[in-house]
Amino acid sequence: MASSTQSSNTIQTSSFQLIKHINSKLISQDNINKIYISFETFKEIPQYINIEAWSIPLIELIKKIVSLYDSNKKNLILIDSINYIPLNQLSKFISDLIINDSITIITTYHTSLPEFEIPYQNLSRYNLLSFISSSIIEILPNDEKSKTLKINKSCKDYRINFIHKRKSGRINSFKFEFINDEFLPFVESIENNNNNEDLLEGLTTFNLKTSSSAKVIKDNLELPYMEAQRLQESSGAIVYQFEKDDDYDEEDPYEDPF
Amino acid sequence: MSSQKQDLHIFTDNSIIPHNQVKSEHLFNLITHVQGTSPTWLLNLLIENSLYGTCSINTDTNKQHRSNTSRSSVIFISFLNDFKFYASSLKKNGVEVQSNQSFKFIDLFTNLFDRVVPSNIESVSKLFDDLTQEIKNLSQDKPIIFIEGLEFLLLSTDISSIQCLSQLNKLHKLSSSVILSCQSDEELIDIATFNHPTHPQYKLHDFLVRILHRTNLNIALRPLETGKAKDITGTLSISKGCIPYESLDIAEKEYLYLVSKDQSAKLFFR
Repeated sequence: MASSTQSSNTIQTSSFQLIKHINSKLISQDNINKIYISFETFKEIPQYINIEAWSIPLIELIKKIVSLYDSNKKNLILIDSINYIPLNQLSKFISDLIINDSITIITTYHTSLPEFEIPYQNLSRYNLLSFISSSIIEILPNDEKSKTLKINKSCKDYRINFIHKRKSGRINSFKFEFINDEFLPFVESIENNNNNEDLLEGLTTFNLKTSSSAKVIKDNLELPYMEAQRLQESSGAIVYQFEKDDDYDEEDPYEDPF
Repeated sequence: MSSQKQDLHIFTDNSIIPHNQVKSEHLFNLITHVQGTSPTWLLNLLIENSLYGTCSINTDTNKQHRSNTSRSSVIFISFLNDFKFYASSLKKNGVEVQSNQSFKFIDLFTNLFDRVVPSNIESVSKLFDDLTQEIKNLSQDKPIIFIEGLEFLLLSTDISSIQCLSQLNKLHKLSSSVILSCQSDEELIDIATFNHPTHPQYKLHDFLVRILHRTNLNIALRPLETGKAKDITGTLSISKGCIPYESLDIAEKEYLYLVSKDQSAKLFFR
């Protein structure tokens, strides 16, 4: 399947570990022709065809990559950062690379880089990539506190949101935690859903708690607006009953009690 | 290299600049500073450590014994200072660089605009090609390259941050390690109002974030958050970059430091 997978990261949570993990799974597979395009790193990946893209003009780079395709194998293009492709050439760059169904692109998009607005094309690089890609892996800090970059807070363990778009149009979304080199399904913290009544303890001299019997009654109580929702047939009639205190002037033609 | 006496440790094995273990890696280290926390004392210290493996901070005597053989060659490229400035400040630390074969200072402060035309990107490219050739001719060994004030070139010419980084890559490839010192004052990187690719704020912000995505080590020099103090100049924090060192582990830490009138620095644990 021709596809492009995109992982997005910030300075706090680098995609480095995730890409390393993906590589460790791919390295033994001989039926894949692996090409590594580096814009910001120098380290060559073994068993990949390594291209230092920063020194090559974009058009030549595309030609070079396409010439390296192996028609008998699946082709994988790993790009260390897509942020180095200008926005106005981004869709062309990707469409020129995906020439048939055997090609997969995996790339990282750094979300912490600033985007400037282009008046004629109100589309950010991230949005564009989200439309094109078939899978998106968002890398997030595991700990909410580590959103601020502080000393001793460099995230080794992180959380990922994995969004996969199927050909049928169905979108599957999964969440994982990466802890100690292992992906585990992420379970949403239930702390916030805990009974908030504990917070009221000791705050007042009177009782703010609801007893269990009172809670049952409260849950079963039918509120007035529930009754109103059943008035389907009358379709929103305003029922006004004139009371003795209402000041209604019969001679005023503009005053309408209804 | 035993370094029990020194107080500044960047790696968990108590070293400051890694030596032989990491020659195969192209390391990238960033020092960010703001106005009032000039990194000169730290750069002096890192030059000394790169050359001899010693560290003259927190020691009473600054005349340490220097072995004649240096550990690795050092190339210092500065856009902000001339050779005299560093020669005298290094001498205070007991490092003689006037006739040192292992130390080469490339002054891009004095005659920068004789070599570079601000509107001509090709001239910047030629400057880096010349530097690359100069460094190739100097040493067989992969040197440690210090670059001070590259942001000055970025902001004073028409090159974009991507173009600047690809020029930097030329030098990076030749070296075992690049130590880049860069300003990161809030006023210089605030893009809230100047979000356009030619504005200095945008250029520097973009440049710094791109660099932060490729660093192995980040050192930040910041003034005290609580305000000015007589006995403390600022904080020095050491943190891991986005790309980890393969052979060494960084000891993430924060120090307080004081630079006194005679330019000597003292470090304190926090």
